[in-house]
Amino acid sequence: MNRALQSDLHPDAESLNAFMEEALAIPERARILDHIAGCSRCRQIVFLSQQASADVAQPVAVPASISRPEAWYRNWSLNWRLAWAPAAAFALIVALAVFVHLRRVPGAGEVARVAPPVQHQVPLSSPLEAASETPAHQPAPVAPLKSAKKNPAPPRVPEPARELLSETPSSGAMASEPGAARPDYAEPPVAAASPGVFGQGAPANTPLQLRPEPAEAAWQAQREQADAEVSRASKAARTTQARLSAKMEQSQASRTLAEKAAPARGSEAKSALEGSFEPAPARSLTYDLDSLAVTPKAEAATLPGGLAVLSSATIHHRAVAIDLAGALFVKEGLAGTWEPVVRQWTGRLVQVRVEKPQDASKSANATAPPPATATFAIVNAGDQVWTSEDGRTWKAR
Amino acid sequence: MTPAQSVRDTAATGFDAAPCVVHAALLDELWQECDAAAWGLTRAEFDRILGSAAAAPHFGLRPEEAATRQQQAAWFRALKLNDLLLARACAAGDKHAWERFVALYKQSLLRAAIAITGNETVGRDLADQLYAELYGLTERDGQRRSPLESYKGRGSLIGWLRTTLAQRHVDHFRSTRHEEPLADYDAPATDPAPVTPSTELQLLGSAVEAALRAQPADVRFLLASYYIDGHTLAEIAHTIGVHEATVSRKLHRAVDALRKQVLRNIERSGLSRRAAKEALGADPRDLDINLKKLLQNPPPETFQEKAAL
Repeated sequence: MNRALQSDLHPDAESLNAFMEEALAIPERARILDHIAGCSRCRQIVFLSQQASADVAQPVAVPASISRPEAWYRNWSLNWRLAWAPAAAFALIVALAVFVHLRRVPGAGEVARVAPPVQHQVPLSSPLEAASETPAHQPAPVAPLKSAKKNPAPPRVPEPARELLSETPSSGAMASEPGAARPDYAEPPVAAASPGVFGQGAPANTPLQLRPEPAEAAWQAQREQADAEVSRASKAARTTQARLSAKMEQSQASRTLAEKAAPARGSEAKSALEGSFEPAPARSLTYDLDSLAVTPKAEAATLPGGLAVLSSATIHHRAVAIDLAGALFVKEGLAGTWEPVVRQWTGRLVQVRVEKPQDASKSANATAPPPATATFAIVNAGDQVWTSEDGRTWKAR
Repeated sequence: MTPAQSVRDTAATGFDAAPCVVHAALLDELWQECDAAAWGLTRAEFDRILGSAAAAPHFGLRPEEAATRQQQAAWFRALKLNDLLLARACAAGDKHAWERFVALYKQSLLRAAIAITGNETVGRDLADQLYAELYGLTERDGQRRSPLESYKGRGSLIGWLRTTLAQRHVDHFRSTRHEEPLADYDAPATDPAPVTPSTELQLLGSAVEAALRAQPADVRFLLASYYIDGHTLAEIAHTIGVHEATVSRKLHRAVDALRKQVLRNIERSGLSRRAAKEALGADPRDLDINLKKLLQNPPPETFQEKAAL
């Protein structure tokens, strides 16, 4: 008879339970393990009891042991103590990520809410389609103006982030520098809500600030795409920053020119009625910062350089024009193409006009074409004048 | 005999041996720490129970040694003292202790029995039977006896109850397993011409037997639990208190070590290494090996099971 099958040779319930609860000393535990390794009955008891303990929850009112805590409790607390370190590190990383995100997001978030959705990202297939669809694209930059005007209270930068950042000494220094690139949180709320056209979103008492803004940059990108599709003759791509600086200079020049040309507006209108030449400076006189917006009219007068016409003049189907960058172009006939003129002058050209002889100005017939001796004249920002008869060869006066 | 009367005769019934002397200061300290007074145990009964509980094991020391106060305190604090007091008081028939025992463990006992048997009806029968025994309906020599007397407080009382339930269920299942109708018993046909295994297979069987018997207890427990009983790694890990991955790793190493040991045993028998490898690749069904018997290595010492009365 197998001795191991005798019931009085098995460990009792006390020992088996103590073995499962790891309450035995090492020698006694080894004895129990040695027995249950060869006794299927005791193994079965141990596994059944273990299964029952897993299935049945512990009674709620079990008296607390005064000797030592339960094994599962010790394991549980030990595991959680070890888990605190990576959990705390993970929480710290998340907090840093949120902080950095909040620090960068406010300006972009406001622009994203105000800026219109880009509707014509698909490139046009032909110049004809481009020309026909260009007017439909033009209101796109204007839309933010309407949405901005509809919102009397523009979104503000979250206060906690702002307060936190304003405590840093560098933020105040950046905000005090007019030319420095300031972070978005340092901008006034109204300027931050500007849709991108200079001066449109600023309050009346706020000085005009020519700063690159996120919405304006997006609008510039759209305009570049439209210009490229319409003109198709652009030779050199200009960066957004260069175009912006050109506009800034041009706007200042146009202001100066407008102030100077204001008294002469009456005489030029009179001469136009006499039919001697077209009122070329009229466009420059009405040019202001708002004209930088792409309008159908400006698009139609775009020169090969990709910029709009600043000033133009015509003598016998020969036209001479200056674009916003000060480049001079000449065109022969109505169906001709604009050709750039080699630079023979100094400074930045701001005006082109037609000068006629003294006797021609006294002609009674206002509708008659100007005489053959009429010449083109270009004026730079320093009021220096160059004249030409064919628009290609210029001589200083 | 009421429980209240019987508890006064605790010394007469006797637990294991005559109560030993416990330091009075330690008794005061333990009395303050335990919650026995909350359910009606008196100080005199408390002192008597602790003295009798510590008598037989003699605080884990040899009988000729005298236990110091620190040794006594360490021994008592290693026990589930509250559970021990409750069990001993219930075994002695204390009414308040029994009410507390019922409030704490009756439902747990029933749920454990249902979980062990896997059947509510059988589980209720098992729980009711043990419940009656715990109350002391069994009498021996004119005195009521309860299985709670065998509880020594080394593990929790609820764990002891679960293990006792499992013992009863397994013993009952094993005793009734062979009580099957003959019509359902399909006896295997006897082999008319037993084939004598080849020399290689005999060597292989001997090598496997020697290798299995040489394995330590923990490895044999893992092998038997996983390959014979079919328990999962999680169940084995829960039983021996280690991680599941540890069990998997130990099992993998044990199988590798066993294979190498079998190979070495075959080589010692006189076969070459190549022949030993070929013998190791034999069909296991051709081997006349009873793994249960091989793993069932009887322990050198016997256990006296006194719980089942």
